[in-house]
Amino acid sequence: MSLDLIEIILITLAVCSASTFLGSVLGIPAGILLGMRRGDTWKLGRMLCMTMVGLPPVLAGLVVYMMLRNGGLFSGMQILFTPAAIVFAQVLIIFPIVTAGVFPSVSQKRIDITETLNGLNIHGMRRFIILLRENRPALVTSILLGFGRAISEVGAVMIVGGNILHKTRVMTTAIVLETGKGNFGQAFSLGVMLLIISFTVNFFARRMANDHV
Amino acid sequence: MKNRSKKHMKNHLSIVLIAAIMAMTALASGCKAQPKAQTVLLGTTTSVQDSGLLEYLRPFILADTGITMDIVAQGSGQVLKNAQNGDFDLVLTHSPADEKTLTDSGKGIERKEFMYNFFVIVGPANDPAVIQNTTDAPSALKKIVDSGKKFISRGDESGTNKKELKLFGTAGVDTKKLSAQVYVNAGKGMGDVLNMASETGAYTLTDKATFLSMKSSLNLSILFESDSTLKNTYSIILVNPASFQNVNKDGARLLYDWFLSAKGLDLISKYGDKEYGEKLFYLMD
Repeated sequence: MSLDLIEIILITLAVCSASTFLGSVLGIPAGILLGMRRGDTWKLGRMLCMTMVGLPPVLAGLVVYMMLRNGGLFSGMQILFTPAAIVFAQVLIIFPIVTAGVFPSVSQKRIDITETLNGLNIHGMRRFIILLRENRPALVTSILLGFGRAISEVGAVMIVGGNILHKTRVMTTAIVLETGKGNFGQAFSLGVMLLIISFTVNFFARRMANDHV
Repeated sequence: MKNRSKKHMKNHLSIVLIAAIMAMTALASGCKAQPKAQTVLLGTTTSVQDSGLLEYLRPFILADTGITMDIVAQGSGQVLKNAQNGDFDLVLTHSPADEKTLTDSGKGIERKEFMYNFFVIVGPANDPAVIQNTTDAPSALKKIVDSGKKFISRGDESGTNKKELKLFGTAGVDTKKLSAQVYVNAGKGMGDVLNMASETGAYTLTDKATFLSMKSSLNLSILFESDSTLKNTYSIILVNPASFQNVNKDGARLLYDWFLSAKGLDLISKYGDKEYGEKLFYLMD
């Protein structure tokens, strides 16, 4: 394996871990909120969330691009064509996916859990932690789903990252580049490596979460 | 009960582990983005990147100036629009008309034509449209579409795309009126279009550098070249630091001067001999 290739893999893992982490930090509380609350506003929130799950990643990429470029809403951050821009776009893509993975499970257990928690007079942070624990399988699945989307994303990453060698070239954009250059063998081996990484991450995450699925 | 607490401990451990890994990797990616002073964001065309020229120059540039180039490769049209918005520090493109728009607006300064090569028309080796003996490039293109053979256009407002449209214009062909069977608007980069042409037995217009760098994996031959209308001129333009305060003014200037220095030009003019058996870029007189 060449040094460039190792670097591309490391950049991919770094960027995707960061966006999965941020996407989960935002998405899990949002999912618990959407799952626990009733009423029309929250129903609308759930519908919006499901709509965002279908958000075409390239559109997310375009929106982030327009926000980060000169004169855009966040142009002051100066992060266009950097790994941070990729994380920005990926968080936008996977945040609703994590949320949508969490709230159905929370909804389902809502009545039982609420009764118990109220009965034991548990509120605030402790209540939140117990909700996390009770919905653990759904959380793990959602986080992995988010990671899977992040690592397989290409359109948005190409637009906001620019596919810069040593900086924003990740595995998917490298595959596009090598395919464009006619190096199909190299493109394909990158794809296989991507699958192996995905499998490994899933395997260990499941093991660590004691999930025997 | 004992079993349960053990399970919990394992959970906590796993959460701590995941958090640690994420924090470390996030930190690593953050560090990579840090050194901004010595980094110049260079917008260039896919053809320059695919030719390998910039990667060949990279170590010399780093040694002489301490600059790391962050290269974003897009079609010339897109690069110049982004430069118009101040999103790059320096651009290297081959689309004269669009380049003039940039400099006329004052957002780009000191445009310098500094190297050139040639476009070539490539197609299946048996040349079904018989263009090999045509007198000039416009008639060769006209012959391809008139004989109903397939031509694949970049269709992405790149320098190559603009050149092709100009040549069709000279030949009196309105590409918008051609059937989609004959004139295929691919909307893709040069490499992808060459692959498409190779797979479907079609013709296309390409810069010679990209073609030579991919030749071994393509079922295509050069069927028409060496016409003065096919000259492909590359320019280097500074994005005006007076218009955009975020531009890396000093770095861009340093890199611009290096490209036009005797050493830079000499290295450029020698590129290709070893890799492809012939020179890929020539210097302007």
